Amino acid sequence: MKKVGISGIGMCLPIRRILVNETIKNWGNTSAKLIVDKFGVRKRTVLNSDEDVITLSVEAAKQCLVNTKTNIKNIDAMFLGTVTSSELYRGSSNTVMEMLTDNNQYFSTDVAMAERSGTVALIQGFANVKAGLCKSVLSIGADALCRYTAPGDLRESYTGAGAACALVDSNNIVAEIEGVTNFNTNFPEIGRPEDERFIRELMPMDSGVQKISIIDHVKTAVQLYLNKYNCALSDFDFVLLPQQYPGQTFQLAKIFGIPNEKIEDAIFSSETGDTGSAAPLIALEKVLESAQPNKRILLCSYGHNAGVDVIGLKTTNLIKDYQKRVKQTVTKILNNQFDVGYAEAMRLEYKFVEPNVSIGTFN
Amino acid sequence: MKNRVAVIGTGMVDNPGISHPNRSFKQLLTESVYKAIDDAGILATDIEGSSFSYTGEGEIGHGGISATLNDALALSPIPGFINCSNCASGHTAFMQGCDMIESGEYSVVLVAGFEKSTDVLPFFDYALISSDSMYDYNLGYSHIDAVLMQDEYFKNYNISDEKKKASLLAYAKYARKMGSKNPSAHFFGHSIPKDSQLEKMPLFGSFMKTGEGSAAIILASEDFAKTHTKSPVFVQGRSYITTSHYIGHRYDASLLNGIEDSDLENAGNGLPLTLACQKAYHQAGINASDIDTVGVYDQVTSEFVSLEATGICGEGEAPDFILSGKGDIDGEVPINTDGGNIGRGFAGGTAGIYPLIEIVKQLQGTARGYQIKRPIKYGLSTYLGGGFAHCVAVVMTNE
Amino acid sequence: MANQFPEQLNNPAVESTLRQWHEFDGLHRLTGTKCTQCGRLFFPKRSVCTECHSLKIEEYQFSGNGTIENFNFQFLPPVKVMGFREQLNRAMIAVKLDEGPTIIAELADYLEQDRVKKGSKVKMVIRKIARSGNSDYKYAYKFILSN
Repeated sequence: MKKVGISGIGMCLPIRRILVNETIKNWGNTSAKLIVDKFGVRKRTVLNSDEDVITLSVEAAKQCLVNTKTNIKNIDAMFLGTVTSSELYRGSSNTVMEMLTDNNQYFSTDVAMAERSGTVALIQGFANVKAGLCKSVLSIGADALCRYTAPGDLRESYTGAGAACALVDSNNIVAEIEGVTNFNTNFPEIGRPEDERFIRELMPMDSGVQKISIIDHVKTAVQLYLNKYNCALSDFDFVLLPQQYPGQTFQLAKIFGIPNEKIEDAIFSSETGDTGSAAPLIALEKVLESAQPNKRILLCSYGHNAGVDVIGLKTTNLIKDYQKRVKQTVTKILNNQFDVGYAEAMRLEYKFVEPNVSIGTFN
Repeated sequence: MKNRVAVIGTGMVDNPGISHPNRSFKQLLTESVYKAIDDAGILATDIEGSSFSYTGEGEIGHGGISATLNDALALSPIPGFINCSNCASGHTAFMQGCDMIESGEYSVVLVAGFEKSTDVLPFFDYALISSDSMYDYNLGYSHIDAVLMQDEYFKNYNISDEKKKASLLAYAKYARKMGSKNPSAHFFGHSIPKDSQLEKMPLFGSFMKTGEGSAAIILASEDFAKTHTKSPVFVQGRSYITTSHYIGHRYDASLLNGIEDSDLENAGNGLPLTLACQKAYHQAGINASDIDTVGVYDQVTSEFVSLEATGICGEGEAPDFILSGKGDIDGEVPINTDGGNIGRGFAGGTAGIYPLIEIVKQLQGTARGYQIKRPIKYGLSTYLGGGFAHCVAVVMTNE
Repeated sequence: MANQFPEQLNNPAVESTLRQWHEFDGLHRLTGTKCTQCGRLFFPKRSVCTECHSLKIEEYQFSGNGTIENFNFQFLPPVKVMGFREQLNRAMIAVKLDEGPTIIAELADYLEQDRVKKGSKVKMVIRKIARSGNSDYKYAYKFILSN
């Protein structure tokens, strides 16, 4: 059986940020100290008025092609994992592909599975290449959660946007995918019915609920992986747990007894907030930027479906060349940021009330 | 010499720098056209064809409009032609009117235009659509960006910020001075603002005053004019140049047939208007130095670029020309004696007809505002549409 | 999301997505044309060469890299274009593409006016533009500073 894995990852984040307290001071409905100290988020990404999941995905894909020295003509499938695309009928993966190439011979699918969409796209890409249906696949995790988070929502100060694109094939792999397990239930914590703009919590998300949702789901899924592949957590050099915000990752690590040195390389969301479907891939890229060859990575994502994907990877000897080649590192991208105030963020994210019909050049 | 085209009558709706909400475009047009008919001393039924100008279907919500207009003017069943060339629509309608006379098919032609910008809510955006659209307006670019990009002019000729401000301010003041005495102008009766007030305005007050209006000119063959009119004015030479709406094309003159050097042009120079003026002078058998009064499209830097394109002053010298008073009413070559777009006002679809009428009146000695005192022989009217997409030059004489 | 009074608007000039679709190659990928007779490059695309008037034209893919030739900021109300109001002081630039033609675009995310200079290197990105009259979302090229 041929080896299939990730040859590289590209990312795109909006450059604007808003400090956590800049949001909270408008509402006074939660504690900035809680978000900054316990959740570990300093600021969230703010979408520019001309950015969305499609623009972020296209730029992430272009960056991925540069990082992997791949010609887009060789790509024969795109899996776009997102729950915040603005086109609900046609799907968006064809739109993203068309912005990259005039080639039409490819398979495409959007996948929408809450914040797991990125890892689902990755697994689907992996499965297609492994089965021989495709040779080279772009798997994208992208979300613009902030556009669909209401002003005054308790999660507003730490919910952002971002995109990451992985090239999955069987050549020049820097991280081979060794195994996959999944655990899914129908647990409606969060949702957005078809005629509503804003994503909302549908149940009180207290620690009792957290216990049976993210904690138990992740625990079970990880155990399933360890059983299936006859290994232990100690076999992994890096354990990438769900990272809507750093506090979540550290909390899970503590519960599972995973030492900090296995998780801290992947921490990035203090500077971005929750990037939704992009988060697992951004965390993975951050680790790939400095990992040595032949190191094992356990990548785990959580979606409020609820569901967990667990993917086991192992870095290859090609990772050193990859690290030399990549100019747009996660650190570099995170440093390219610019703070804005609350009114500007609301204006740019189209959260001011407007007339139903707004026609006129100057209004 | 072949039979020249003559201007035998003019008429206009006063104050094109404001909207006229209680009058429809048909009413505005009827006023200016029948004033012109009266001025020409002809009957309405003497008109054998009409050449109309307006900014376009989207901008007022009416299409295929020449039949509507001929009917409104009780001129049907004569032929009617439409010209939509952005701000230059009036001038290109004039060009067409001249062609109609010169063809020999018509003895008397009506050239008339109107602007009714308040009939459509996003009127201003329909004006902005008049561009290449898919690659500029679609991307949030308007042809006023083209005006602002002309700022390049000051950098190209190393004109200091102080001189830029002083010359724009001097022109803004002059335009208002000319308008203050002209009953047809928006600025009529107003006192001229002090420098300290103009300084605070955007672009030092050198920005056009838009509104609605209508203006009309009656054209006739030279023979008809000589038997019907006491002091006709003749079209001695004229030219109309089209380039492209897309401002990216301003950076490559070789896109125009017959021009090899691609670097001749940029957003800060008026090469297309220079070409139009040169052709008009050639047809008229004169040079730039023969011009006694000139109309230029005044809108921020455009007044300088246009003036230089006429050859009346050298490249990079227009600010000095203005500052030295050479363009004043008693100067070497008085500019925009009715106040121009800034002092008189600007009614898009008919805008160019107002300055043509002013040149006619100066040549006849019947200007309603400031009159050039010394005897004059040649007047030049130039106008632009879009960012030098349409350029027109018309030389007129009273001889 | 649902309109409170969903009556049809009387506006015959509503754009069809076909109008944008014809230009997707240019608007989305910066694809222009090249004359196969004389080699001249064009953006936006053309069907006939302005140099030799040949109709034998083929597609040409521009790299997206260029230099700022000229720029201005849309600071005056009359310069605003409908659908682009969320961004104040948009920077419009004339970009000389590396391959030759000069084109017009917005310079996105420039942050401070002082950073925008003639001669600065820029590269193309894809961004959302004003929503269509028929409600669909539209996308096109913008540029960002290359540094």
